[in-house]
Amino acid sequence: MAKKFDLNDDSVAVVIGSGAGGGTLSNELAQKGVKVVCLEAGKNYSPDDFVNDEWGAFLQTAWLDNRTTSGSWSIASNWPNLPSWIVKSVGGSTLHWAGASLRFQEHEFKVRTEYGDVAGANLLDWPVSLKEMEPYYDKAEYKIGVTRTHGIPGLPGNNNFKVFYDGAKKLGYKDVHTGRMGINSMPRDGRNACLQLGFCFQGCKSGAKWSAGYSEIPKAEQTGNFELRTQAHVIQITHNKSGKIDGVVYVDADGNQQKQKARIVAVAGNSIETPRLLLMSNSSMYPDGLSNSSGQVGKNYMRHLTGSVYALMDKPVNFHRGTTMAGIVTDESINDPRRGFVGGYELETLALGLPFMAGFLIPGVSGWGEKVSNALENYDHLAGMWIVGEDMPQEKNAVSLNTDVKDQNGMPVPNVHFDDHDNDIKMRKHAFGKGTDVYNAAGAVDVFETPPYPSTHNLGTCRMSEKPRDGVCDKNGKSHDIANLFISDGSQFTTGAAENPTLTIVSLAIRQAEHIAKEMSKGTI
Amino acid sequence: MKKIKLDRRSFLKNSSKISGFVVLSGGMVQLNAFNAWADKKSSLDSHVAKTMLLVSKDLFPGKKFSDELYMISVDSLDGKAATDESLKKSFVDGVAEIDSAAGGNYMKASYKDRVAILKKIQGNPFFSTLRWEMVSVFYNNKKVWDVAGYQGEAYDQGGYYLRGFQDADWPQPPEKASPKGWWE
Repeated sequence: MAKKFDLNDDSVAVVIGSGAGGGTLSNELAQKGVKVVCLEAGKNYSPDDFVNDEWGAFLQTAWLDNRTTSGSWSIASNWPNLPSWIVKSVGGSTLHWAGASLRFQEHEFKVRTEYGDVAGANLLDWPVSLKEMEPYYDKAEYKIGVTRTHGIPGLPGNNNFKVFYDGAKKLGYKDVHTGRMGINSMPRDGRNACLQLGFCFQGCKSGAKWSAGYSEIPKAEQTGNFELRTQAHVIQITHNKSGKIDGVVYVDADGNQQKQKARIVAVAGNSIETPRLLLMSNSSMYPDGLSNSSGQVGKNYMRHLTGSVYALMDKPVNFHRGTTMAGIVTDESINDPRRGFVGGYELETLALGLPFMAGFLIPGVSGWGEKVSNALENYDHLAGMWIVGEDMPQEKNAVSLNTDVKDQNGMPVPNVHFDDHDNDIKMRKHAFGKGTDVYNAAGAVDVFETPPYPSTHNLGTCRMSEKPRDGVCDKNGKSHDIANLFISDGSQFTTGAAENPTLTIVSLAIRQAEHIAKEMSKGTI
Repeated sequence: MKKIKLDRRSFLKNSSKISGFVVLSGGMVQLNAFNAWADKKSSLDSHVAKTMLLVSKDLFPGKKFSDELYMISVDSLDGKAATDESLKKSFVDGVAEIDSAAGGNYMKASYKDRVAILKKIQGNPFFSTLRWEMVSVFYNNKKVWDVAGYQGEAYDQGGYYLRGFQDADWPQPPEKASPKGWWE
C-alpha cells in the first residue's frame, strides 16, 4: 500500500525521477526495506491514458520545458528548443523507449585502452567491467523480461523486419533477428503479450512493453516503504554545514515550494536535468555546483551517433504495422578501425507514422518538394531503420545553465551544446552507406539518409570514473565529493557503447540499490 | 468554425468532379474552380486563400492527393488567422511578396518559377508557417492517411497481429530470426 512520509522525515532516501534509473532504484530499495520518497516532475499516466496518436501522445507526455541548444549539430537548427525527445511522466522515458535491450560488449567498458588516444575525445575506461556487470545484466533482463534471454522467445518479425532481413542477408550480414526486446513475446509478470500495435513510442497500451511506471512503481508501493509524489519538480538539492546532503526543494503541482529532508539523495532526471540540478544547487561551499570538484558536471554529453535510413520500396510494406524496433543487425557493432573509425554501431528497424514521417524524414526548412512528398504520398511503400552508434565523449559537448532564459519556475534553462566528432561523422557516413545497401538489395526505388532526431539517448554528463579528477561519481554512482549523493541514470555512463542504454541503466540501478542498502545498514551513509 | 467546416464539406460534395488544378500551357494554373471555397474563408480573402492553397501544393506536390485535400491546411490557417490579426497580415504580406516575385501573380507563374520563388523564401516566417501547417495538420489528417496508406491506431481492433503485420511480399525469415507468435 502507498505510504506517506513527512517532509521533515530525514530518514528517507529521496529519489529524483521515476524512469529507468529512478523507478528501478526506488523499487529495489523499497524491496530491501529502505524508505523511499520518489519525486517525479511529471504526471502519472496509465496504459488506459496512453493515446495511439503521434502528436497527441507527444503533447501529452514529452518533456517540453524550454531548453536551448548550441553547436554545429543539426538539432540546433532543426529543433533549437527540443534537444531531446524524452518524457515527463511517471516512468520517465521508459514510457517512450522502444524496448531494445542489449548488453554492452566487453571492449566497450574499456575504450581508452582499446581505442587508444583519439584526438579531441575525452575517452576513459569505465571503473567497472563487463564481468562485474554480468550478474546485474542478468537480473535486469529477468526483471524486464527481455526476449531471447531466460528462455523467453523472440518476437515475431513484422513487415519492416521482412524487408530488413531480406536486404541484410543479401548483403551477407550474419547476426540478423528480431532483437532482444523488453516487450513480452508471451504473457509474463502480469503483463500481456505484444499485440503488434505499432505505437511503442507513445506508451504501450497493451502493457506488453516493460515500463518503470507500471512495472516498478506499483511493486514499490506494495512494500509499504515507498511514496511517489507526482508533479514534484526538484529545483535544488540542499546540504548542511558539513557539506552533506540534507534534503531537496521542489515545486509542487500548485506551484508552491516544498522542502523534503533526506538521508541520501539519488538523482535520476535524465542526462540533461541531472547535471542541471547539480549546477543549480551551487552554494558558497560548492560554488561550481554539487559534486563538481572535477569540473566534469554537464561535460562529455553523448547522444549516440544516430541517423535513419528510410527507403521507398517497389511494393507495399506497411511498416507501421507491428513493433517499432524489433529487428537488428549486430555485425557492425564491432570495433574495427580498418573501417576508418573506432567503435561500432547497431542497425535496428524503425517505423514512424505518417504524421512524424512528415516532420522527420527531411527535418527543418528544407523538408519540402517532390522527393519528400513522393515518399509521404507512398507511405505504405516505406521501410526504415535506425543507426545507434558509439559517439565520442568530448568535454566541449556539455549541458550548462543558460541564465538568460528562465523556465516556468524561474530557474535557468539548460543549454545543450553539441558538435559531432570527426569519428562520429565517419561512422555515420559508413552506416548510411550500409543501410542504403541493405535497402537497395531488398528492392528500393528511393533512399533517404535522415539526420538525427532530438536525442532519446542522453548520456554521460555526470560520468563515473575511477579517479575523482576524471569524473563525477564512482563505480557505484556515488558522488566522488559528497558521500550521500548518488547519480542513478544514464548520466553515469563513462562512454556510450553502441547499444541502446536502458538495459545498462536498469542494471546499474539494481547494482546501486545493493550498494546503498548495504552502506545504509552499516551506517556509513 | 463549425460553419466553415460545413461549408467546406458541402463544397467538396458538390465539386466531386473537379479533379485538380486547371493546368494551362506552360505549367500555369488557374484556380477559378476554387472560387466557391475561397470566397467563404472567415479571414482570408479569395486571392490569398487560393494562392496559399497552391503554395501548399507546391511545397508537397502529390500525384494521388486530390487538390481539395490541400484545403485542410489552408482552412486550418484561415481559422487561426480569424483570431490573430498579425498572422492574417503575415499571410497577406507573404502572398504579396511572392506575387511580386512572380511579376504580379504567383498563380500565373510556371511550376518551375514557383519552386524557384519558394526556394528564395525558404525559412522565412510565411514559408515556415505554411510548411509546418502541412507537416502538422495536413499529414495528421485521416483523409490524407487514407490516400497514403497509413492506418493509425490499432488498439481498438486488437492490434496489427491479426491485421497484416506480416503480409508484405518479401520472403518470410526463418523461425530462428523471426519466431512464430506464442499462441500459434
